[in-house]
Amino acid sequence: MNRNEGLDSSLSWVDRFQSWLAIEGSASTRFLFSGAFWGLVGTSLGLLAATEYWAPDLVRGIPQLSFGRIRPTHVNTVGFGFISMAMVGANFFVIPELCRTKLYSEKMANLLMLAWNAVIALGMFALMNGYTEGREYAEYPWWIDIPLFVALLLYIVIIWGTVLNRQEKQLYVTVWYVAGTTLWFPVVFLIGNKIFFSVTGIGDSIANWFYGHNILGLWFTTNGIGLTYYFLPKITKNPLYSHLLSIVGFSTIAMFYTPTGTHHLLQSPVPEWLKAVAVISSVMLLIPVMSVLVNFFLTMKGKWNMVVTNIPLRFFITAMWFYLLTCFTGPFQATRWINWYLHFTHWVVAHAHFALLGTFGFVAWGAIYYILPRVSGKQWYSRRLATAHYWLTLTGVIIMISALTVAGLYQSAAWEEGTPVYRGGTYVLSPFMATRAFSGLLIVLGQILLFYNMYKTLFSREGSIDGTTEPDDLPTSGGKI
Amino acid sequence: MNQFNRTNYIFPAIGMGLILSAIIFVVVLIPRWTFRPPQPKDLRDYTSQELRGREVYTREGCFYCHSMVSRPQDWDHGTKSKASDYYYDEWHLLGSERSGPDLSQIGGKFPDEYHVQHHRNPHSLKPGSIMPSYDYLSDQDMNDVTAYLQSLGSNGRRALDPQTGKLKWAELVDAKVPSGKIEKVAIWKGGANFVADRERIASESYDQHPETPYKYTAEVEELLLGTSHEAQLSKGAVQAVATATFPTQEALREARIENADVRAWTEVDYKEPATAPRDTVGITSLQKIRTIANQGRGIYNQKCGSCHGLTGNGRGWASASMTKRAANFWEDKFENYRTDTWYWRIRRGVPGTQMPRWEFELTPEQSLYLVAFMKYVSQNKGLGALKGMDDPIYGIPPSSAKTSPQPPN
Repeated sequence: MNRNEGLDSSLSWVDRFQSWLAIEGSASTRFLFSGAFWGLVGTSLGLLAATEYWAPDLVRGIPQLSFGRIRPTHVNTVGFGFISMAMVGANFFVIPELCRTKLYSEKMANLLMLAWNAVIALGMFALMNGYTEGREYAEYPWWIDIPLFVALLLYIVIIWGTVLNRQEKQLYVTVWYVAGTTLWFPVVFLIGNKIFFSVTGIGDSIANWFYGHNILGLWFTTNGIGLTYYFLPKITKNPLYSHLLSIVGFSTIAMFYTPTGTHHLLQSPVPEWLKAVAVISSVMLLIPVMSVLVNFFLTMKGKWNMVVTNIPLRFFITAMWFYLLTCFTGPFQATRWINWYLHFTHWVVAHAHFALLGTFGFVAWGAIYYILPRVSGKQWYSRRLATAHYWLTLTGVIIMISALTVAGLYQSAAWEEGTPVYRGGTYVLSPFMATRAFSGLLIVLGQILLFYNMYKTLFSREGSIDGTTEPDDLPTSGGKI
Repeated sequence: MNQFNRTNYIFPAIGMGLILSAIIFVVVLIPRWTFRPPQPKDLRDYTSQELRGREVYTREGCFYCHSMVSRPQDWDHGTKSKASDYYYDEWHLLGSERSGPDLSQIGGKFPDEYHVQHHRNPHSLKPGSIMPSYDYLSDQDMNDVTAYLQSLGSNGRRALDPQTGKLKWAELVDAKVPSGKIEKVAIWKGGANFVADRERIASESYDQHPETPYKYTAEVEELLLGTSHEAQLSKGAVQAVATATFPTQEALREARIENADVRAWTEVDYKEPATAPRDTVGITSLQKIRTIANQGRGIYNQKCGSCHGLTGNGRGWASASMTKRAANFWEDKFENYRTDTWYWRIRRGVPGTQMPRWEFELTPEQSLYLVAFMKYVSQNKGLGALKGMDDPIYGIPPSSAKTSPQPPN
């Protein structure tokens, strides 16, 4: 397909660039496409890091690829690149739909897309070359934090511009979540990245983990849950089970998620009252989680069989089962005595992958599979590849989480017994680390399939090779990216 | 959109904004204002070198595998961390996962050269370790990060005596200064003589000061905390002397190259074949390795046997009274020890245990013979064919090994 189709080639490149920015529906597609790209890059970095756990001197002598630098690059690339960009792209499709209006400014959204991609690429460069702040989830140096913050401000303008221009009186739950997130997250980001707020000494760990946990609670969770609130009723054509439950879930999430950060520091010398607040609110998190999940699963009533045929729905439902498991193990491992046993082990790493990969990764993939045909006006290139992506990823996630969980229990039992696993002749976790690296391979393969499928869908004229008819109401326009 | 609908959303929105602000106020701002650990009396500020090392530590992402907090349940990590330990930290490095040991108390546990060697090639000191090699670090970075590690913890270079406010690590010992003369210099306790001095001083009155292993008599105080003029050197000068008097990596390497022939023999496999060719005439390789190992056995019987047992199973008579029992070389892990590892352990001792530094008594050559014996014992789980061989006299020069004892019939 000619990418400049519809653009007058006699115009200067500035004009052509401006009309490229203004193509309707393009921002959403481009965000989703970038998300899939960074997903491929980010999971590959994760695979490399996982392999280094098993073969430490794999890339001996290359500082850029050593474990200590690849790990933050992996986390930030999948977090801010893959999941965030895919979710923002989904929001740019969902919010205008729910408000029955157009996106506030397609140009602005496309500029945001360019800026965001530049930030992620620059961030990868920075972290791999050792420019880091060394605080988890906030590793990007200040010269990346500031553009990212400006991007978040631009994002507020676009989302709120759309919401305020709406033609629909009622604000659906998704809009609350997404519009709320746009306002909460920049505040959390400012606190966490030492932009105007900085503490020294151990107090820094409190600020760091306030941010580290709220990037999950007030960015990934609220976006992911908000999107699922849209997609489940939309795909199943069932009405939302309970409006009241959605209000309960929404109003308690900001209340109970915000103070939980200190549960990462339960055995550290920080104030005890703060730990108590963190543990209590961690357990109270069951309220928003339960209300959301009960609402989702009862909305599915009578339509569970659609999971077999509908690929996006399959991703969303898998995500919600993972969410159930994450959010039941989360409060449980945040209590003092369980945390005493499990802290610092691979169990926590498994939990992080549960939440970010298992839940919000799957939401992002589901959103990609649902939205792409609808904004581009083209059926998916191959349904079979999409199914293969699903099964590879699901198998990978389950193997990874099992291996890391068992490894974590090994570690904690060894500590309790007084003989840490890194003492002695051989590293007993090696088989688990090899298994985890293998699961990473499955996930990367899935990402390659997704990216190839997406590329073929958007840029080839072949159409669907196996007669996909999933969106039966494909729009006739669109398709430019 | 009518006014009614608008208010419907605005009030809940304002309410949620207020709740969120209140929570941020409580969990972020209040701790910031009220939680201010006092300046510690038992810790000095970082030097510029240690700060550079901290940056290297952060840059290389060490904190992703090594935590920086010693928790109540970590029984073997030393003093439990307290809030004021982090007073001088500009950013925290607590870490969230431990794939390697906690480093909050690492200072003073090992000599500097140990750290350098461990960063360059972790496997040479800890077989089976999953720490990657950091040999790409420049010498400057390596020294800085080592200085940072040595500054940590209650026995590190930053540790102060809380009563006098003087450096805890400073110690006056006779040492060979770079010019070659023997002088009394202030030296860090993690350096040369660490084990010997610690044992000597600790034996004086450990029970009176359980929190610090040193007795504060006037003499020991002068020795440790430096009321004499030698110890009034500036921090930088003291550190310079402390590092300069250690044997460097290059010196160690040279010592080994001189013994290249013996060293080559220590690299071979010492496992006895299942059916030993007992009737072979002449010097076969099997006889050669048995002979070399038996040379080491002479040293072992005199120096090591009392603790580790004459057969290497860790049941020497002196081991009975130890809190940390002497190592049993029949354990599987010792099969994987490399020559470097054995050599290092023998020469430098094992800090934190009663294993002394044999470099003061054994020549590099003798140490290598001992390495051969250690490999033989650990790979064969016992004395094996050496049992019937004559016990050679300790101190025989290696050239006499030509007239090697015959294997038993």
